[in-house]
Amino acid sequence: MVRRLRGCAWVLAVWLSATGAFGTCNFFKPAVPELPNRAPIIGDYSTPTATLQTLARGLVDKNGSNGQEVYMGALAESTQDLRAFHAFFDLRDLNQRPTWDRNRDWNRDLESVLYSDLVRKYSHPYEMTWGPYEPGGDERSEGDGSRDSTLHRRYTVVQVIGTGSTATRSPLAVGAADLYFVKSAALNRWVIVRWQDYRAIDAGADTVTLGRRRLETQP
Amino acid sequence: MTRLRRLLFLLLPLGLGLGSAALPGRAQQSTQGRFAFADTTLLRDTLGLSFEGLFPLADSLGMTPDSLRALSIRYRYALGRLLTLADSLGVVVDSVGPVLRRERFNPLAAAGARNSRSFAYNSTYDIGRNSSTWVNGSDYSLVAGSIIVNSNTSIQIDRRRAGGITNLDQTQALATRADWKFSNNFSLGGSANLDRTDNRTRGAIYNQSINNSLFQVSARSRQQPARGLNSELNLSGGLLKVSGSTQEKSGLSGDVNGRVRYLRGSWLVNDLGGQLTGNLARTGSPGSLERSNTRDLSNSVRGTMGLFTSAPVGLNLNYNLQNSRVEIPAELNAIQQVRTGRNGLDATLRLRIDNDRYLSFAERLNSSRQANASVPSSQNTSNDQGFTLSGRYGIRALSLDASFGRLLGTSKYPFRGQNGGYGEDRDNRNVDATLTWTLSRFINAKAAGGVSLSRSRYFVLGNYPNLPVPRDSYRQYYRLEGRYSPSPKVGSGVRLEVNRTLQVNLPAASTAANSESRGYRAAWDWNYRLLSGLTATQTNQINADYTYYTFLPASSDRLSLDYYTHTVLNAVILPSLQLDVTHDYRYQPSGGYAPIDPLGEGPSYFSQADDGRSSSLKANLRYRASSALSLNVSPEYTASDRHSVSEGVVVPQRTSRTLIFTGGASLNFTLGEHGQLTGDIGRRFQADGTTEYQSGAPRPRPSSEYDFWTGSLRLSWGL
Repeated sequence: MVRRLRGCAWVLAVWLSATGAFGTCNFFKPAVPELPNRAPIIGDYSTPTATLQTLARGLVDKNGSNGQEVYMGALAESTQDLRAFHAFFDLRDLNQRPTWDRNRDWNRDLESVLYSDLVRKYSHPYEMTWGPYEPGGDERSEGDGSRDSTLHRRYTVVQVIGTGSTATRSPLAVGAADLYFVKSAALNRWVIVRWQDYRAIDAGADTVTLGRRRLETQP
Repeated sequence: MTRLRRLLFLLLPLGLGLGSAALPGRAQQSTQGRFAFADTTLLRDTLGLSFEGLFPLADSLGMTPDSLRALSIRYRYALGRLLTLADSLGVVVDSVGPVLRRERFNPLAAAGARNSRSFAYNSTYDIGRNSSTWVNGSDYSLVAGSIIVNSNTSIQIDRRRAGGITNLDQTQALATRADWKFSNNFSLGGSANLDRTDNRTRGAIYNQSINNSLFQVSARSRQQPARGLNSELNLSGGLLKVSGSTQEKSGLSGDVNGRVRYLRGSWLVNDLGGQLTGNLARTGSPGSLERSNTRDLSNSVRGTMGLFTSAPVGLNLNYNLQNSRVEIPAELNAIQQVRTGRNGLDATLRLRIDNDRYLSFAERLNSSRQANASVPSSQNTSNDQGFTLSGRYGIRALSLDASFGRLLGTSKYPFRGQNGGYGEDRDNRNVDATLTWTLSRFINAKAAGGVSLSRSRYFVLGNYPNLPVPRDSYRQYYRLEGRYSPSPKVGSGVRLEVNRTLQVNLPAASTAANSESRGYRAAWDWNYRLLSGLTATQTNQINADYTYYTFLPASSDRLSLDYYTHTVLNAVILPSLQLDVTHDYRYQPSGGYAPIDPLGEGPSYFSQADDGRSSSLKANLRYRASSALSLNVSPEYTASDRHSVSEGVVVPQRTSRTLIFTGGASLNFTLGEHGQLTGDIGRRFQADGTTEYQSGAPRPRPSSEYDFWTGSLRLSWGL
């Protein structure tokens, strides 16, 4: 009996060692990935413009550090900010994704799906820029002491392929947005409540907006 | 069926003498209780076939039981007969059907009556909700002394409705050949093969029309130069004409093929077959007057060698070499060569005491090259090499099965962009083991475990910027099973499984997707015969999948749960009346994790995001009125509800209800002396209703109702 148990113990030990459970056998051990070594982003939500810059830095970070956290921090969360984030789409983007139920609400939970989807699909570094978009109309900024604000901005997200002089920039999302902000009383920060996404007035027919990228994450 | 039986009678002499040796198709019976978990209740004898010993046979042949059962049903041969045919023909089991079909047209295999004539007409009509297929075909065969004529005609019409438009595809084929059999080993003949394909989908850019015509004279010969050595050599050549949407081609074609089979005692069997096909033609684009000389050539050699296959030490070798070169018209009247090739070698060395104690070492080498779809002159290549070491050791009530393998491969895609592409190096490693323990006549236990690792690395060919991310994928699992079957009336089993999966992207920029998934599975099933004609079976499962993103905050982690129960009642009310009632219920909550302190890094809790619930109830009532007619009725009701949890509040998202009612008949009528009508036909009614919710307020969507005929009928008429 003891002999049989000893034999079983040997078989078990060989199995565990060969499969990498202990010992130095690396035959079945996956490689160790490079560690993301970027410093964490310090979120700045002190003004609507700063919130947009923080959102852009969060996206560019691709969650190499705390990118997703600061990106999501720019969007209103009802338990803290007393308002919830909602995004709306350009009609042309909706027409191109008929499977999306137009009655559904694009909320903060779904926005995190967009972030993860972008990070997973596109492996190269990003750049994101915000610029003025005059065709959007008049803006109502934070300077007048109010607790809400509306900005019209043009955005560009590109994928940077290669480095140095050989680097090329491939657009991931180009569009414009009407952005409605509120100032959170509890946390004293500006967060986006409504993101009305649309194609810029000079955009081509094949333009891919962030709204389109949002819709593409859904079956 | 009758024709196949006749053919069997003709072909049996080819290999009756070989039946005693251990050939590729032969099964070797096992005696241990490894198949205690085999669920034979799945087997239905609807065609006069039984599947006794299916699992041991499949295990011995190295194929899955469902594949072996499907072959038995497809050719309507009992398992034993299928194996006898495989032995007799010297082929593996899954090649029996194609070989029998091929030999039907071999005049040297037709050694029956000196004068005979037969004609068969078959018409098959398949109908579904949006499509129908109608196939009309005839087979004519004439044997007049040494003259043998075969002719087959087939016309297939496919109708598909999409967007209110009916699209029509047609395929027509005529194959006629006449042979003069000079002796049992030599014949001369001629053949005409005409086929036409028309795809007419409205508005589609892939519509095409192709007419192929091939007229050939041929010679067939069969030799037996020595004892145990048989060979065949066939030659054919003639005129070729291809007229279609993609190219116009006319010229000469030729084909040489042969087969050599050598059998030496019980220690050596070798099959070698080869084929060389070529065309010499004038080819051009449709509508163009320009024609160019093209030469197409394809060759293939394939073989199997078995050495000491029934001895304690045996070797089995499979090899194949296939290459083809086709010249097609390109832009500016140029001719473009499209080359493909596939070469492979598999060798298995087997050390065997008996079926419960053996060790096999298998080595494989494969290479293939294929033309790029967009640039045919560019070749995608793939090279694989690997080995598998597998074995079984059984002693008394214990049996251990284990396998270890490694496969290395390199694929190159040189044209994925304008200036280059990339290559991929793959390295797959796996080890698996299963210990089966028959504790008593009533109790069996099984423990299994395995680990696998797949590595993918990429390199640039030319100039290509979007190189895929190098990654590793790792999986390990452990599974425990137990079954208690005190009598044929009652049985129960439990199963537990734990698995772990790692997805590892190596570059820092892509590590956000790195994840670790842990899955836990538990299942319990039981069956109990309540009355002599009433049996209940139930399966219950609980699954939990935890997904952790290695480099993302804990709020990105996910948990998916799945509770499932499946209950079936089988009732035999009368010998000709049966009723099955099936109930399914599934509950799938899932969600993520949220920190207890919204601003802190402290512990987090499971925050449910959504859940789905679905249940269905289905009944199937079958009444066998006679051997020619049976009726069935099957109602089915399905309900599914989906909820989302938004900031702690459960709100409905969508509810849907579906009712399906199917009624039909299975037919097997004999029409006169020569006709037969077989198949199934039925009417299906379906109603769907869905309600979407927005902020908790219901927004019903229009319900849909439709009904349609479904089934397949076949009319056969033979003279």
